[in-house]
Amino acid sequence: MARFALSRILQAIPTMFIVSMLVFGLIRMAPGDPAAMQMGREAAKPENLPRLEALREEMGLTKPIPVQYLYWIQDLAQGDFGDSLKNKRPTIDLFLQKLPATLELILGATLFALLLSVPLGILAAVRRGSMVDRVSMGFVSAGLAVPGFWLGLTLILLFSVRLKWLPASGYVPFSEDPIENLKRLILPSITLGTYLAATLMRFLRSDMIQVLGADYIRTARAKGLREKSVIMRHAMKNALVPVLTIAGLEIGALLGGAVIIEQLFGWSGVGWLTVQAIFDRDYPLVQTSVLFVTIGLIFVNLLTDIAYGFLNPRMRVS
Amino acid sequence: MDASLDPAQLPLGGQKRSLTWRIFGGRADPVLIVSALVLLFFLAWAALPGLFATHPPNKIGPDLLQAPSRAYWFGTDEYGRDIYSRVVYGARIEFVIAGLGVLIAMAIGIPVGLIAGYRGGWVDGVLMRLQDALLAFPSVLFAILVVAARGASQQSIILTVGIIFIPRFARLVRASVLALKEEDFVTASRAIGASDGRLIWRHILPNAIPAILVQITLTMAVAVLVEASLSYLGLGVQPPTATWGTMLKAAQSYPQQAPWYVLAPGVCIFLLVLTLNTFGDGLRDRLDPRVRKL
Repeated sequence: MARFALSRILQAIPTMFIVSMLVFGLIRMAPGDPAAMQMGREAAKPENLPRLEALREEMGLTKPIPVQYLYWIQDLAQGDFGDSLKNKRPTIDLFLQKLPATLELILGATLFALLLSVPLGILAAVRRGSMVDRVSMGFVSAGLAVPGFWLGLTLILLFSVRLKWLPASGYVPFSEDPIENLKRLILPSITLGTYLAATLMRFLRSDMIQVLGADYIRTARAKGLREKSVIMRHAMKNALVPVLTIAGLEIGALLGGAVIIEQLFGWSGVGWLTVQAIFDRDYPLVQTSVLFVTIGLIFVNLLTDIAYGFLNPRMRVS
Repeated sequence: MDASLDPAQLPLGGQKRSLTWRIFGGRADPVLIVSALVLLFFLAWAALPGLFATHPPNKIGPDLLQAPSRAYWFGTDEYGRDIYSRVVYGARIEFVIAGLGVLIAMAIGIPVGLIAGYRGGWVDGVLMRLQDALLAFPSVLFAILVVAARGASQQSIILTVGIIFIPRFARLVRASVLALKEEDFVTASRAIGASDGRLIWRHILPNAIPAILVQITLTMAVAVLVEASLSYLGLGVQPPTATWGTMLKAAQSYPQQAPWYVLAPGVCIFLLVLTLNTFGDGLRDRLDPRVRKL
């Protein structure tokens, strides 16, 4: 097991470096001189040219790109992620400030997805071909095809504009007003969680069907266990393991979706921050948030992978 | 080499039937046929929008935000443009973006997968870590990077789609190569002196084509969603060009006055993605006997 975990970690390290190179390279391709952007309007004045040159020297912009990359990595290692061009604060502070809102949204979406998909997926598998099965499979096809923001718009039209049950947009920190926070969380969570619910339901149903056909289930039935305990105690346990793994791996898709859903619902998380940053041409901020989210995802996937190997010994070999 | 000795020419349990026959022949699958027809319908919109549209897509009219009527089937937008005609013209951009994007992804992904699988060793290791890195990015965030580097445009979306979907093809082809490399018919070919190129071109690649076809349709579905999301954020195709994503972005501002505005582009995205998905799933069921529908 330790060998399996170690090999996965060793695989993740080069991946992280390649990710950082891609982020660095693409941001360096952005138009404009980073030193001039740092100085702002002052940079355009001719008398400031020596200062600009000095700043370029200081920022290492006169060095070749690979050297610049190494400087950047060195800065990152020392916790220096650069300052935002717009409000001159460290980008990492801005990012961390917005992170809780995004994590809350992802948690809400995952909870919604699990609450919907686990009971329906299992029921659909147990009663194959029944009404429940058909409705669930219809939901799966629809859930995989519906664009998240369109679903969100429709939900806003229905529940906020027409019925006036829930607020259409805005984020209120949980610490300020827990009830308002949760009320505002409902629509974005449903919007973001629908795709995940559909994905999980599909896998859960097919896993469950497979497990129900296994020999040990026949044995459990043969020794006279009630159907309920066969399903709940024997089959479900095994069918749930891959589902949890998929939930872990789908966090990336959730984060991508969150960028759009946050925009739609005015939910000021990291996705919202990143989109604002791109419109402000605040490249250091874009760089930090894309890098953090992606590296964070690699970590989550790594943990999911190792957890799966722990739960399912057959995985460790391949 | 004598053609009659070529293992690829030997009958292999019905596998030598033509691809079209394998997809549509025999007992017809109604879901597959229906989704193929819907796809053809959208393709017709994309190919000949002038034939289907009732108005020029960018023609500004006096009737702003009109409800659907006989003159304006899906109503009009905030500039008095006909929503139905704009939706029809939007189809072409969806197919261009999804099609070119997937083409780029294939053009890079398939050779990468072939080389990685065939060579193995450190080449495989390096190429696959690159794929892992690309897979790690949420597509929208990668798109934001591309937009930072090149600005928001149709080309940027195509490039984004082309890059982020490389791993889908690379991994798929690599897996097929690894599975087929040790098959008897490949070994037989090698034994009678076939070159690496011939082995890949004549034996390994043709056997991977069904899986690639399935992947093309499924990837196009995701590409349509990516276009819609980016254009919705304002990071994609720029106005006044009509795409389904940009239309939705505009529609968002008029939930009270024109609730129908949101409907047409949304339903089109939904239908196109749904049919691409069901078509892809249907293809998989027919072409890949290992994955029987549960």
